[in-house]
Amino acid sequence: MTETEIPQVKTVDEFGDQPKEYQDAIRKIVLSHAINELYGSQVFDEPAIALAPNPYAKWLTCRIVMEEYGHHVRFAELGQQIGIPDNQMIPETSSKRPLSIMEYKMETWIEFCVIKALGDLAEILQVEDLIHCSFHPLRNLARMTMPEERFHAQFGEDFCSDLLEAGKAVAVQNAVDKVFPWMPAFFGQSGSRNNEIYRKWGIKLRTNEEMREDYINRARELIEGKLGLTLPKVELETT
Amino acid sequence: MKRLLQLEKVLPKIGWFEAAGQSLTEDDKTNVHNYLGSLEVKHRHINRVKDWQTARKVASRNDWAPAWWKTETRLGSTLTAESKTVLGDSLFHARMTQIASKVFDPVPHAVSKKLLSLKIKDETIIKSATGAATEAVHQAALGTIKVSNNNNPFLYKFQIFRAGHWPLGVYNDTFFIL
Repeated sequence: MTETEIPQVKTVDEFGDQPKEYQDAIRKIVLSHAINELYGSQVFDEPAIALAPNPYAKWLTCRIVMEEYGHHVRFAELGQQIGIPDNQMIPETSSKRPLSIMEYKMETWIEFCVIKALGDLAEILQVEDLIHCSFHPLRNLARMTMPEERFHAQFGEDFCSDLLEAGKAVAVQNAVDKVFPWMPAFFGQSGSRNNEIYRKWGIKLRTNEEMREDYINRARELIEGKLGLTLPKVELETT
Repeated sequence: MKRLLQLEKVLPKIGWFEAAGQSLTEDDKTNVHNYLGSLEVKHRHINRVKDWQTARKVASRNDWAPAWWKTETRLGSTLTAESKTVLGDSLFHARMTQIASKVFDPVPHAVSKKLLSLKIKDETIIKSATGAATEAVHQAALGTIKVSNNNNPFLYKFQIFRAGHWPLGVYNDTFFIL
């Protein structure tokens, strides 16, 4: 990778002065977040309200839906400011496909808790990588959403712990076995050209491979270290 | 649209959860009876919960009455469809997002402040109470867009929140309120 002077783009106005490659890279990331935040709240969080076992958990899930939807609104507002068409930021009308995990057919409250624990952990890693981003409006957005993402992952962990205490270890392990294999793909392909461009411009810090490895270690610490279950082996793509 | 704007104007003036744990006024009792009556959910008692920890325990009970929740969900779906017909998809989402933005930060802030004054540190109860209040605002907005029935439970429920209480729902045969 050739050395490029990394700009510090403090405003949306300054964004317009940046090279096309930089602008395109930022738009790709903002678009991805806008779509996946909305899609995630539609396919997982909102249906989970009906699956929640009692009103306390239902209202807690209502707030999570609202926060995830709020993340979409914030990313979409930034997307509008940097020239992404509105229809591209809505899953129903966008040509951009959501992350593959969104295809997972969630059926139970236990699966939802595992999705929050493992899925939002993956989201935390992605957002962590943006908190030093050279495009400051995106960096600020990452910092703003981080506490809520952390709470969502903690929510998943806490409810999984409660389920284990209630004697549901087999069901939680089954859900982990079903959900976890979807997760490594969350971090994109190894040797990704897009990721190379993101790092060249100081938008992201780490390669997809590094993030995936970190994620698997953190997921193992959670599932095996904290919950006392087993993280299933998954075949990682090597190209 | 006028009614929706009126609702929006009221939201910043609400003292969320200010009356939590306090005795119910006659107006509160009337709103509770109207709320449950319009939902057609049977109950024999009203139980005032006096503190937040008990509220959490009550709302986590497994003997909650599904009819109460299911009736609200069904009504919410019907009103959403009707509201979209009245406003169109795009305007509907824009208005509901605008309404939600009015409570997104103020409600958790109010709950945090209240709990801090009671020396309670529990982020999940803040989120759960916030979820309940914002859901009630969303439902009240739906009941406001398409007023086909003045006896709308969502409008009564909103009045209970507006008075500073948290309706915790029906468990076994008792309605609990903080």
